[in-house]
Amino acid sequence: MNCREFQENVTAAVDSRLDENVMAVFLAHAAGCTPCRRDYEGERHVVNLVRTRLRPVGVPPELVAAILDCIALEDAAASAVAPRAPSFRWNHVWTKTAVAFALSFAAVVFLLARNDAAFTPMPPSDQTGSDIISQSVNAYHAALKGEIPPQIVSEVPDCVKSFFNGKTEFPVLVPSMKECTLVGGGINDFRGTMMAHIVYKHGGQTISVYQACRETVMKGEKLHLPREALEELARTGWYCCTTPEGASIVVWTKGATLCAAVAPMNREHLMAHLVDGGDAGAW
Amino acid sequence: MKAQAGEKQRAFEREALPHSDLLYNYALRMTNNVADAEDLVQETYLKAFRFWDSYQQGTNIRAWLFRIMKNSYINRYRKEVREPEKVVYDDVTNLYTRTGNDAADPHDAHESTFGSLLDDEIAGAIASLPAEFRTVVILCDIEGLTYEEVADFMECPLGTVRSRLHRGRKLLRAALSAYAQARGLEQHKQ
Repeated sequence: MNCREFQENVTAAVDSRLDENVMAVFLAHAAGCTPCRRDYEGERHVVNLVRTRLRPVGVPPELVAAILDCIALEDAAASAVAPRAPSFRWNHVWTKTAVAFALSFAAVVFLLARNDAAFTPMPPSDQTGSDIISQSVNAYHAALKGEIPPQIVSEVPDCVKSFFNGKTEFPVLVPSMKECTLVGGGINDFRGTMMAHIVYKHGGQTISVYQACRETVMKGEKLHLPREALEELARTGWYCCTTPEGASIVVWTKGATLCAAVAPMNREHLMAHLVDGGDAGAW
Repeated sequence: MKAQAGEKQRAFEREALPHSDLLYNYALRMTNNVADAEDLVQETYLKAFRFWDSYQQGTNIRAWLFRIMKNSYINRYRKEVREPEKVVYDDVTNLYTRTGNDAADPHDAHESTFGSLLDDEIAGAIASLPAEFRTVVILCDIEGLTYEEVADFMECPLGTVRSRLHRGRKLLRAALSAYAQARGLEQHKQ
């Protein structure tokens, strides 16, 4: 066995995969060749070190639980029959209504921005993320600043709801909310996937509810939820968090729709508005 | 429809979930980060569940899951995985040269001081390997898979597994030496 043949057999020798005769020849070469012997010993030493120091660890039980929850959620979503969205017609009565109200929405946005002036935007670094929570907060600020053009202004839920017909691959939810006035809504395209936003007013505060296709978010390709949000959503049906400025975000799903509400109020108040809607259970 | 869905979920849990340790260890050593590893495992299982219908019952489910994870990893770290192919073999050639010189040097590699390295440093040395070499080192030396299993996982010949393992270990040895030198451990040897 020469040095080249020895090198070709080092790994097999370390892993005890050489037959007895070849191993004997291999060891004979090692005994007489210091560089080859050092290579063999070096590889053995490295393998022993890795095997003794980096033993396999068990998967965290919380991770298994989270996977089970996500699968259950996925399974439930897959088994739900999503309603077929009707085709969009430009001469639809509510579309005409939308156009009629479009100009007045600019004034409403101006008022919203004034009332929520203390609610400062998220850091710019979040603005390019596909995290739906960051997107919702950024979209909230963009709406307040008038950067997302209003497309429908109406206090009538059915009017706002019909505006979205045929424009999204998920049903847009527009229920009444206790002590809140429906302002209107709009739609925007994020990386090829549609997000709807519905705006409510409660006194001087604005509540925005962003909606996206649940399946798209669960797939995590264009939009995604942080893992902790997915876990909490699967466990309790809701996920709540707070921005550094004290605004609350509540995420939940209903049928094929994933919703994220953003408002400059504590989460209990926001939850109360969402849960105690006029047409209870609509969310 | 719901009954079918429940059956699918049960079958998936029964057959796929028992391999979560294997996937988690691979993800942990590939990313060298617990949070990233957990995300990768979760993403892998979600994709596997989504494509469960395409899994052929009775085939090697561990290999199937592993390939989904590997693709997920590549998608996440595409830039890192693509580039080594060009430089890896140069690295290896250089390493062979370096090792050859080391061998002639009485103050060669620092194997005797490797034992003093922290586990995190050893994990860091593995994480520094190019992805293709890191994969075989993790699967063979940490997960304890046979060459045959690794070849099946990676869909490559046995000879490729063996050569990658050999080269991966060589690179790892050099990386460990660098860690040892950085910590000044070679002083103990002299």
